[in-house]
Amino acid sequence: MKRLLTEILFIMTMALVVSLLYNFVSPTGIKIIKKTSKNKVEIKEEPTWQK
Amino acid sequence: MISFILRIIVGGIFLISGLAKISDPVRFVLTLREFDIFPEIIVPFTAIYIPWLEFIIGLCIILGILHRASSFMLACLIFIFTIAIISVIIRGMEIDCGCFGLLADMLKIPDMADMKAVIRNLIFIGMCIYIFKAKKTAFSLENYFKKV
Repeated sequence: MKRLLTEILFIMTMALVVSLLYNFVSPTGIKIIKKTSKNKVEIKEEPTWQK
Repeated sequence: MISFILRIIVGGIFLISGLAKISDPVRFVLTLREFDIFPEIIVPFTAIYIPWLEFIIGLCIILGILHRASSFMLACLIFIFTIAIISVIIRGMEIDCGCFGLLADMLKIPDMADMKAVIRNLIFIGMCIYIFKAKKTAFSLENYFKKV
């Protein structure tokens, strides 16, 4: 049980680190945080799948 | 051997769906907003974190690294998705479930938040439970490292 919890925590931390790193490297991710950090500001950028 | 086949199916699906969401985070943000469950402040962080969690769990399941923990986590994740979809159905909304992100558009797969999605998720949960219960699984990196 303890081992399982440790493994779960490890995977969650790994995902958190990778996602944050990717977010700061990728221009799209940074845009999302900047735009949504101001409350109730909608994303003005057209979603990529509609382009 | 059955757990290996299930690992490939479940892991592959979540690896690909994670990648599809990572490639188009804006769409995932919009989908999460449509669900109208999460507070606005959490939405961007959820949209950034969940696809990577899916991707890493899918990778772990396919490669057979920490397969018990990853299958347990995946079952929990799918359970949360299922609750979200059920809440959408109860509220009578007809929206995209966003399960496969960009991939659904590319392959023209129906990706609506309806009962089909709930049943599909329940099947995935069953597969995850089978993988979780399997003490040993074929062709896993974990077994390989134990032997070396």
